[in-house]
Amino acid sequence: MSLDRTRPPVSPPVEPFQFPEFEIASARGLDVYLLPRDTLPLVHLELALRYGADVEPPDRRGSATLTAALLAEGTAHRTSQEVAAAFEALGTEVRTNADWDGTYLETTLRSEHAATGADLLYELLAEATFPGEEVERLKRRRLADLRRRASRPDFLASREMLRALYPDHVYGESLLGSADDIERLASEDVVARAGRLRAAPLTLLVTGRFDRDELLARAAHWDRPRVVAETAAPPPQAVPEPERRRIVVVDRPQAQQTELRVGHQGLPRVHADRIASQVLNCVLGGKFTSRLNLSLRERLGVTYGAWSRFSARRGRGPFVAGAAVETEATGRAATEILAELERLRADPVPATELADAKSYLIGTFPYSLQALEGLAGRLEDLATHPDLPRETYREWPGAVAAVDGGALIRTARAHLHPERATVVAVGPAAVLEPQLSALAPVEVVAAADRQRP
Amino acid sequence: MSVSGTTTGLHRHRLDNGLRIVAQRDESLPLVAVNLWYHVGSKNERPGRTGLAHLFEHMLFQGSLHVGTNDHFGYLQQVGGVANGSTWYDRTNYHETVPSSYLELALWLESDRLGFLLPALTSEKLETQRTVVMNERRQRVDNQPYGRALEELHRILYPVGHPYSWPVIGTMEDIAAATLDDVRTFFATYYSPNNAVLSLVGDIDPEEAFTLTARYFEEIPVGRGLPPPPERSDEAGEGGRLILPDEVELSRVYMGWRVPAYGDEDWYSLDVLASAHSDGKTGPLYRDLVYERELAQDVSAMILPTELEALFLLVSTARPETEPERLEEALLDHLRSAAAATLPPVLFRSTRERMATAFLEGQESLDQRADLLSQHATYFDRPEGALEELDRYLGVQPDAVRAAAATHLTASPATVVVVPRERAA
Repeated sequence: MSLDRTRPPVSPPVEPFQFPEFEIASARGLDVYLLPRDTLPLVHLELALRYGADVEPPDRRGSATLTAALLAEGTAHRTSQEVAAAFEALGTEVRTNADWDGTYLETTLRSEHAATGADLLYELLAEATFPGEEVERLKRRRLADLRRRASRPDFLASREMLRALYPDHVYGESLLGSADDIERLASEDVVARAGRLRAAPLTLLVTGRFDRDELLARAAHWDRPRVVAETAAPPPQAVPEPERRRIVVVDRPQAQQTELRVGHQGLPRVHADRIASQVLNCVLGGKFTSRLNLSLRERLGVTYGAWSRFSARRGRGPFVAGAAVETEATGRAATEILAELERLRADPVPATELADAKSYLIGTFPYSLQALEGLAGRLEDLATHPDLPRETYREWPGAVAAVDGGALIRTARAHLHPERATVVAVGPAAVLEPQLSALAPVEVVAAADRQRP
Repeated sequence: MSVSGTTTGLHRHRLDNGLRIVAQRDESLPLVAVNLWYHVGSKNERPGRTGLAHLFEHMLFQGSLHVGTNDHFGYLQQVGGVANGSTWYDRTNYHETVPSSYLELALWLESDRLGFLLPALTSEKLETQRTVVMNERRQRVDNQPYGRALEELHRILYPVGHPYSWPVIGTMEDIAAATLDDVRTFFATYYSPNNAVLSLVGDIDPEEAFTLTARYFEEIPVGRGLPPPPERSDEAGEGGRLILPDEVELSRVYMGWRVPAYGDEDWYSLDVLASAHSDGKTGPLYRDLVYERELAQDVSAMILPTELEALFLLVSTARPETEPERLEEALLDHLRSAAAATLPPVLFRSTRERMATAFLEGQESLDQRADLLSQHATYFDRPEGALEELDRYLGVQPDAVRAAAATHLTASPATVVVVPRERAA
């Protein structure tokens, strides 16, 4: 049989992929989400707390991530090194971190160690002691880390965007905090935060191969605090956005390229338009064949890659589009990004383009769930946002498929705002200013000012 | 059609044109990873045309006779496929993970660009990809703090003309100089079925997958003949210690040693050493330099899996108040200790435990599994080596680790120290 190469082979339709079933059990004041997958003798364990960085006091930014890191730096029974050794003896390590919405302690280990690992995780949460010397040690390291990051143009661009979009707001600084914040943080702040953290709603997430009854029995022995908050703190208040377009150039005279960002406030994690915004972003800048990448990379050749995303958090996280572009082409690239935002508001997305975006999102869903961490991430999302229905991820592919052209253009008009977007460019101001001044007045700040974090 | 066999779930097949195929069934998700390695990388380039293998990789995503420009990604993404490629010193890989019912689509695309690339190659496409690659180089190297350090380390570690002495992405001048003829010749020379391995892992029937592969690949002719593979030169490089001023706030030290190639017994011993010393917080490098003495912000030890010979690398960022010389001396002290005494038993045990877990975690991704199969099939013609690799690690004994350090890491390293520009002035 001769082969016809002129057209792609026709394949049978794909069975719709279903997010796996999981159980929600309860053990002495904590919820336990159990999602079995038997493929490999591995288990992922995670303690998720609905208490994140968005409840930090304004002059104590960075305390959420620092407190989370310090959970692994000593307990009533173990020093910092002994904590590390206990996990390493099980062939793993522990990660303790916070984002805007929650604080998480997690580890992936071989199934035979599941119960021991779970007890260790809980020991860190319940019995971390925050020794003064460990607080100071981690602060010194964090301060050096801020200096290291401040020489990265992409970090400078992202941080400048947050500061522009969220003046005097908790979202206006990176999760690491500023150097001033870190220097101000005292042991007492960490201990106080940990106290509130321990009383926050807690979920144990278990994915992989595990003995359900054994884990539930262990969790039932954990000594939970008597007073547990029913709900986490309310999400942060909205802040007014700039009414007009702003352009901020962070001057790096010696830069070889320009980090360009275009952004404004987006929408919260739980919102009626969330799924339509995911499809919209997929058309705009969520995949290789999205409009921004095809335009800036494949047509103009001025970047290695262009992207966009709506950050999902309890409050209105940022929408940002970005690319590292050839400095001489920055004006053209910024104009192009703004024009693509406008085009989505003005013209319906052609049916095939919309269908491609939806099938990409639906088709890559199982790919994103190959590792236990991918599965756990979805459970974490549900545990951290109690307003999300339990069926969210089972219904997600169908909800994506249901987004039509009308919903897309309504979403674009509601959530894309080129006319009041902020443009940030990190590069040589002398070359950038003349290119960008046609778009809006240009404010120039020196990178040196921004590098002393 | 010739050999077909099975080793612990692996199925092998070879087409008459020399294409080697490895298949492994895993039905846990309705996906298949398609992973194609060509045994050509930057080491096959010549000075003056560095970066050609990588620029070529970009051209392979620009369409072929039956696939339009950018349609490669288009076809795959519209069915929920995730695709990419990468270039390395010794090889170039192209891979996509697709819903398993689209295996044939992936084979159609991969065979079209191997069999029918040249009719679709235009100078316009080359010019666009040239500027894309120049921007990639700026983004990853020239505009990135510490971005040039590894290039400089390779340059001083190896003698002039050594196949590993130039960067995979190439120099800006060479990227600018590449011509359409260079690209055509490169393709005709190296992109031949007998210089490739195709690995398929996922929800497939291996025998059906072989039949399908044969349908798309067996008519593709063998190329013009492969030149003899590049050889390493054992001559010493310039070595020494190079200060590299950069737009950074913290100094960073890079030290490199030339060590036996990937696959050698000592390579595995040195990888165990690297893991024991720097992967965990109880590893001596981290505990001493980052935690106890706070000389360093971070430290890592690693060994690259390269074919002609390997590079053992120590990288450590200094704290603002640490003079790089002091950090360098401390790093060397650690290696001297590693060469003199065996690893403490507790550390040795936990290192083995971590390696076992990490190996299982590597099995979670179909594409990572397929990539490791391609790697072993390409370098050693033994894909089953991918499945045996954990045993090789677990077979390493503490004294072999010490001996490997003593044999390979006691000579003076080549060193690059990146320092803040104002400090260099």
